[in-house]
Amino acid sequence: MDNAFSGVPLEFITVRTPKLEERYMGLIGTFATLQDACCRKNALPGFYQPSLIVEASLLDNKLVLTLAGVTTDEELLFYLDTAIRNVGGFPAPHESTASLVVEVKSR
Amino acid sequence: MAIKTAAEYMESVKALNPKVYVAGKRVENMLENPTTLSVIRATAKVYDLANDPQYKEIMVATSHLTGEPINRNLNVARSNYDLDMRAEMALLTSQKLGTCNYRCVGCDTLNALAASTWEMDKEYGTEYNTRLNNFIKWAQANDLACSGAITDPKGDRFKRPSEQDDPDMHLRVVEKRDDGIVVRGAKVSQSGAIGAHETIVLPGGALKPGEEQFAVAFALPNGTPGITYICQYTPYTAEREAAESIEELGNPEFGQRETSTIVFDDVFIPWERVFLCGETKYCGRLVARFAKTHRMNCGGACKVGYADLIIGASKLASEYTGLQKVPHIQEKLIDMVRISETSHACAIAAAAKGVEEPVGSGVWMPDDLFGNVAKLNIAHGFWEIMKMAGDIAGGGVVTMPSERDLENPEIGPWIKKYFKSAAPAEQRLRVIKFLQNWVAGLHGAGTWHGAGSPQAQRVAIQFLTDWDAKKQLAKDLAHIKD
Repeated sequence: MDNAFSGVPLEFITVRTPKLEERYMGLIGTFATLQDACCRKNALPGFYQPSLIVEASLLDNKLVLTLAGVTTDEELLFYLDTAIRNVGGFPAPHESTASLVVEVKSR
Repeated sequence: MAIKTAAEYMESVKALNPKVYVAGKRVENMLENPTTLSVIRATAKVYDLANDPQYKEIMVATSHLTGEPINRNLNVARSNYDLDMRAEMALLTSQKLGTCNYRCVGCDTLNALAASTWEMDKEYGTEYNTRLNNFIKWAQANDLACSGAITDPKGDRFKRPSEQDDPDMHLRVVEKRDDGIVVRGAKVSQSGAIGAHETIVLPGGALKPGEEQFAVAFALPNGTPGITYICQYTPYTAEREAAESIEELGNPEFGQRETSTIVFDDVFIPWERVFLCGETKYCGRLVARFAKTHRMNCGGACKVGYADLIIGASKLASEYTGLQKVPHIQEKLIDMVRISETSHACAIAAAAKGVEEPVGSGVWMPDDLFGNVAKLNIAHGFWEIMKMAGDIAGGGVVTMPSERDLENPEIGPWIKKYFKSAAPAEQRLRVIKFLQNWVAGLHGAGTWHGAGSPQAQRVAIQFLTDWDAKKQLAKDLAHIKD
């Protein structure tokens, strides 16, 4: 981890599609912002097409999302990559430990 | 990675897709829309300057939180030297951009918050300063472009925020939850927010007990759902949209200052990003600290950089028309320098006489009186400078044909023939177009109102001036006895 992040309260998020997985990090509150956007506002950050989110729910530390019309795992990752960057998160090293999870699938 | 390159910034913007409107239409890609692209180009240039060795002293600071090199736009001033370099950065970026350094307000909001959160934590035992420092470390580590948002729509100006028919006229907290707050309202005239990663929001002014819902300061990523940016639309926007090439425009790459109205439609902010919530007592002081910092930088440095460009172009225009030795032209150019450098001197003085505020916080604030005088002087002086530039450039500054006419095989030769003077028509038209961008542009009113309208500076100067001391000096010398 970069020295510049020393002492910054970070949170790490794992994004899981059925077949792929990526890690992200953000200042504490990034996951809550993403979760609020998806569950309360029914909006995936960075995307504006209506009815994109079919289902969004929070189970403990896991945000479970179902997106409409997103077919491949690579596309699902792209959507979540954009969403997390739009709420201030960035890709994190793979070895980082993530306690927060976004599980995303399509319908 | 503490100092991003312009390319890295551009790459980071590609992934962002905030909800932006220009002239009633949503911008699908900010890098393809000519207006939003001009903001992103200008922001990228600020990153570029921080990577240029010749500007390192001005553009790069050392983080007091991590010891790492950082972009000065994310620095909290800890000395008079820091204040001086902060003002020099405003000067340099204006000289190099000819438009807003879109990270400027964000920098000054962070400095005001650094002072006020320290003070609030001391009085109330809150955690605002810790949260702010964590946010600043995160922003520094990622070299995030932060814009600032202060001005509320305000509605009926004779009514307090809590007396408005529509309570949303001042941004407010509509819900407090365990994990954060939900805010509703709008902020207007926000320079370059669309090209920033984050916006730092402050209350719009002093508040009283009973107005706690409006007392809120926070940082939020610009792509957060619920935020909408409605961009300004001016004749210069239309000109940029219609241009076949940006080379036809007065400020080709960076354009006029672009602002937007930001609408916050029930936007969630996690507590970790909230730096004031309900403490009405501190709102006036927080905004005053922002104002004193921003008036030094805006009035005594940023607009001086613009004036340098106008003066340079006016001198060129005089040479291109063969008038450079005419006495009244020379006098006007000297007067332009006098006005501009008077404000510049006030910024240097404001930095030199700045003090730690509050004592013990480690945060340095510029001298309030000199900062206000810098801004008030340039608010009036900028119109004078533009008047003289228009005089020197001549009527062509508002009557010139398009440079596109030069390319037309039928009329191009006439343009070249009749607009030739002591310099070729191409050079003369270019410098006149550059000056038109200023003297017939948006910067006059922008300078008048930016960092607070002159009446705000007059009120501050009235309050800050020790009138009794001045009266006593006069009495002593004139032998006036009470």
